[in-house]
Amino acid sequence: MKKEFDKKTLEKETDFWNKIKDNLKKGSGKVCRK
Amino acid sequence: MLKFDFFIQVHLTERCNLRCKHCYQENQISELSLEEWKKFFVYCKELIGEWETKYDIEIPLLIKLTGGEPFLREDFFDIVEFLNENDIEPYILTNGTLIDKNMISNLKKLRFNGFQISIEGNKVTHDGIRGAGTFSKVKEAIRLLKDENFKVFLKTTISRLNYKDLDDLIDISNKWRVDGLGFSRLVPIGSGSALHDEMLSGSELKDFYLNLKSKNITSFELLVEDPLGVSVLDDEFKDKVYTVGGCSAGFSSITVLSDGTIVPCRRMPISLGNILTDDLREIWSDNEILLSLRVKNGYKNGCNKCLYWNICRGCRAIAYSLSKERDGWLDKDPQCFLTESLIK
Repeated sequence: MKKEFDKKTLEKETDFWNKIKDNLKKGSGKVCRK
Repeated sequence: MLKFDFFIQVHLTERCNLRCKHCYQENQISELSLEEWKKFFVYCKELIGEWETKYDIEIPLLIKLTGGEPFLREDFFDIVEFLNENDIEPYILTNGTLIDKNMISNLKKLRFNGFQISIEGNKVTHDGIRGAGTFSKVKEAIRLLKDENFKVFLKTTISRLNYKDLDDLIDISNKWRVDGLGFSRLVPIGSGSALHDEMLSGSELKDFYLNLKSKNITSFELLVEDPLGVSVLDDEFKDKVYTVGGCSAGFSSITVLSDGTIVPCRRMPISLGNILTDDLREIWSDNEILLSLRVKNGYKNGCNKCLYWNICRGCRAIAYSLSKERDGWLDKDPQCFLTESLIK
């Protein structure tokens, strides 16, 4: 169900993706895909 | 553009035609309707698209359909048809026993990313874990799928019940012309909780992966994604400590159960919400359990100090299943064999 986001949640989302991108720039290892 | 592998695992049903000894399933739960799943798949496609645009990153949408046994869902083909109409080719996780000539004729009309079929070892071992006659059914299913050029990957849940069958599994993979063979570890939940004593010790697990490495397999893809296995098999593992990888819980996957419950991993039954009432995007960014999985300092018993945290984190589901801590999902993977000398 789609809901409106508050500013704080959006900041957390941005923080997550920025960290992922920073690490991806250094390369990627195998991810467990179950 | 940077590319990030992300997948959404959808358990369409908890119904299953088998009663495997190691199954993680506990109780039967209700199932969302076709229309509810359709809405969710549209939502996922839009969400991934928004993330790609907003964060300038490529995220190929991978949806894994499973169960229970997904082919028991009466509208399975309607679901796949809808996904195909939305340019999504699902990856199917199945026990393979329901795939016959009639089913193949229906599968041929649709597009799939691939099929993952469970195999536990040689015929005696497989039938002992999954039930009499299942090995032969799986063999025939794979022959039918490969004759139609579908991609087929075998997946083995390793424990003391089957880890000595490695040579048989390699032989089977070659003879059955599969595209890959992978391994995951027994998680002692559901029916599998009775097999606690059959879990491999850390040293047994390490020996298994060392043995696997010594086989130098080139005839099919080796799908070892268990981070502890990767630490043995990937010669560049130590060079990747600042990259992205390891357990997908909280990082690169989310799982939705048949009633819409959102969990970090199917083998980690902690409800984070429900797709009927909650926004998955909000949960992904703001849920306390998912957030905790992303903070190294919160991990325990050495995992928080491990050099390989970025690309490992062990198996969070196994840690959770055996931990006595309140937030046991942050405990050390009890099968971890990365020695203290590797931890800085």
